[in-house]
Amino acid sequence: MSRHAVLWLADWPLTAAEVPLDQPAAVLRADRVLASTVEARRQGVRRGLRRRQAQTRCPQLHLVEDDPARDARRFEPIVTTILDLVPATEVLRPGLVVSATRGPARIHGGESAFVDRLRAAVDAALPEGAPTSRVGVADTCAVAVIAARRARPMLHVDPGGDAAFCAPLPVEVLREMVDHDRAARRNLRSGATSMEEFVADAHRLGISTLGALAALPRRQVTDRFGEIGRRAHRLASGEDPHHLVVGDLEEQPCARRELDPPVNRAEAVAFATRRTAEDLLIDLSRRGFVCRVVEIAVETEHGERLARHWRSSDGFDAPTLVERLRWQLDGWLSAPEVPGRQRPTGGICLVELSAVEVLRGGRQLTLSGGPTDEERRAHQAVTRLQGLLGPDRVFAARERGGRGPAGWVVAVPWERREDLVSTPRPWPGRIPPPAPATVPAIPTDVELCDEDGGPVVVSARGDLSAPPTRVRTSSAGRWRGVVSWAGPWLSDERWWEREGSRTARMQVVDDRGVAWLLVVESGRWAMEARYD
Amino acid sequence: MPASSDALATTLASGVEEWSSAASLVPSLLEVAGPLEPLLGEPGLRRGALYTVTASRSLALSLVATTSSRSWCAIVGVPGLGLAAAQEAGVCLDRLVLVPSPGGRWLEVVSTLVDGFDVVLLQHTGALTPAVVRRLRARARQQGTVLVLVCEREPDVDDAHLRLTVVGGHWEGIADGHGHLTARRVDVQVRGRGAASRPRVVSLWLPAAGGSVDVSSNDRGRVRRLSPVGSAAGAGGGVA
Repeated sequence: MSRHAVLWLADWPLTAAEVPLDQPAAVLRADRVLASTVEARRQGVRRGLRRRQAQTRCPQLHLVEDDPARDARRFEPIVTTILDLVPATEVLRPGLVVSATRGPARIHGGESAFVDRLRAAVDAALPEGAPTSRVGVADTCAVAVIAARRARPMLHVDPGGDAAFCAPLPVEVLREMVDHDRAARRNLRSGATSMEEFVADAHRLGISTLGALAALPRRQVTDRFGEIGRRAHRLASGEDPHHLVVGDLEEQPCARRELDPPVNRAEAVAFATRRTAEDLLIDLSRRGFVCRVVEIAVETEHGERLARHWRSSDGFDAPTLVERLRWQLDGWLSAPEVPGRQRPTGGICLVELSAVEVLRGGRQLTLSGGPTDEERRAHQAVTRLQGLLGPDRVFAARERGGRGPAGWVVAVPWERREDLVSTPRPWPGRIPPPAPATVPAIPTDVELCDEDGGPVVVSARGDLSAPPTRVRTSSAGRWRGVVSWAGPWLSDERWWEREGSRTARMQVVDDRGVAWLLVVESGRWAMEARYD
Repeated sequence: MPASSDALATTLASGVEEWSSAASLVPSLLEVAGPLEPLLGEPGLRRGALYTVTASRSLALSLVATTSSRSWCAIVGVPGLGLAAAQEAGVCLDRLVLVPSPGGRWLEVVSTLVDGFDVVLLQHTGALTPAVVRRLRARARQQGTVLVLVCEREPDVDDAHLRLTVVGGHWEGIADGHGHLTARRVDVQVRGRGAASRPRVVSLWLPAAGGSVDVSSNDRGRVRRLSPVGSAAGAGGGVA
């Protein structure tokens, strides 16, 4: 099991804006307060207030416009500091980073000792008067973020204790899981309830804590709330909100952009790299993946190189990825002179983007992010059908595994399509491909006869009484000649269910060239499938 | 390659009709596996067109498999469809929606699917009167949706773009008590409208030994022997 340490710098936009932190000041985004100093809060300025309201409450309030690029630029030296201690570090956004702690904890003599070192190093790099760092440590990254926000100044969740830690927390903490700047865009996701709505609905249903949520069956939560509900339930249960697929990709998917002539301005590099980012994400999405952690490496014409890992909790779209590139470049190109640190001395000539961690996506990202038109149309149609027929009568197909042809791939109700866990292959005794294209729900009785007109019988050891020569479905009554046949194959399937439920299967090709899969149980033959 | 440039010419010539529709803004053909091109006479399924596939569900599945890597696909009715066969044919399960029992609201269901999906496979039933087919066709043409009608026996549908019927087949890999089914050579009779109204027969491996579909080598003698249905033996060409 892995351990994650999340370091959070509260009110980073204020620190980065270099406002006087001992006086009333606030950072505004889209005319609303994003962050405010202690002094401003004392005078009633709150996050989310409009500019006018904030100024009414505190007339001498010093106001600064939000600037994510500035936040990133000022954050870069801190990232460098952290990377010196922990190379496996990813930036979630300026002011919030996550590190894998296993290795560093071993080196520094335990988790707490490591966190102390980390905090000391970071706090020393912060400007005077800035809020000091807080660190949360937990098994999953998501829970470590929650812990960091509650850390005074650090909070350890015991190994294996993520669910127990979450249990008493109010469901409102789920809101913290949403990347706020992207929330609006993500809500476009067809049919998906937003986390905000989910929290409100949960309250209406009397679910007020994460523990109460985790106590519900996951299937029920997923049925009722879809993907958002499933993520919330996984988080409350101490699991990664997403199914991870690491290792499913043979090589790390990567895209390169060479710039000739080299480019000096961050914005220009970012602009030139848009297509590269799109190509990488589209290539991944074709394979059904979304990129959650990306490595962005940039190189100057003189060979200086800077690589950073960026994480986005629900996966990157192209604009977000390019924004991270811009931040990284901004920070690097404007970095102060520090002895022993490589600084760029020329223009950028190479950008490399590699997907470090991917999620099973199933959704296709468009160039602008979000689902494709086709996907949206299809999901709308499914929702309409569910309204028309009831949710239980619209299905997806998922692989399950099993010996009989009816079990290999099964229909599952659309809302539960992500819940089915397929049993790993191989399945001994399974009839080899091709799979039959017709598998009736109830096998049709057939008669299988030998040359003398007697029924063909399979012995307990799997021997045929005589070669089959003709076959007919009992009711239809027209005999067909058997041209070729294979088997029988014995199967002890479901032996635990019924005494003597020993079955055998045979493939038979009739004189029209139609192939059948026959099954015999207690001396009775039935057509289980047809290869048409 | 002459075959594909012929196909291109056909597409250009007969595609004029489609140009006026809204669907012409998007590519008007949905890709099919290479070996199926001789069957269709063009490199893909035509958006807004109706195809009938008789006596072979695996052929219907193979037709839509390639495009399902990009397009959304729905299957209505088709009782007892072997979903493992769909997967083996290459149909992308992530973009597949099934409505096995649409019940009394059949037409509403199919219309909704035509609006939302690129490809709709539906079972031929008694509900499909000529008037209903016309309505669906009009809607499909407007939305650029491919309709594939899965039939047990030759349907009485006259405005299908192509009618594909499996008229004969021969299984390989199976003998008297030995081996197992591995590959099948089928003869598919193709009938269309206008210039394509003269029926022709195309041989295919369906499935080929490794799965999916493949071109059968042009062994005419064998084709004739395997095509007992009278009208089918006629043309015999069209194989790459």
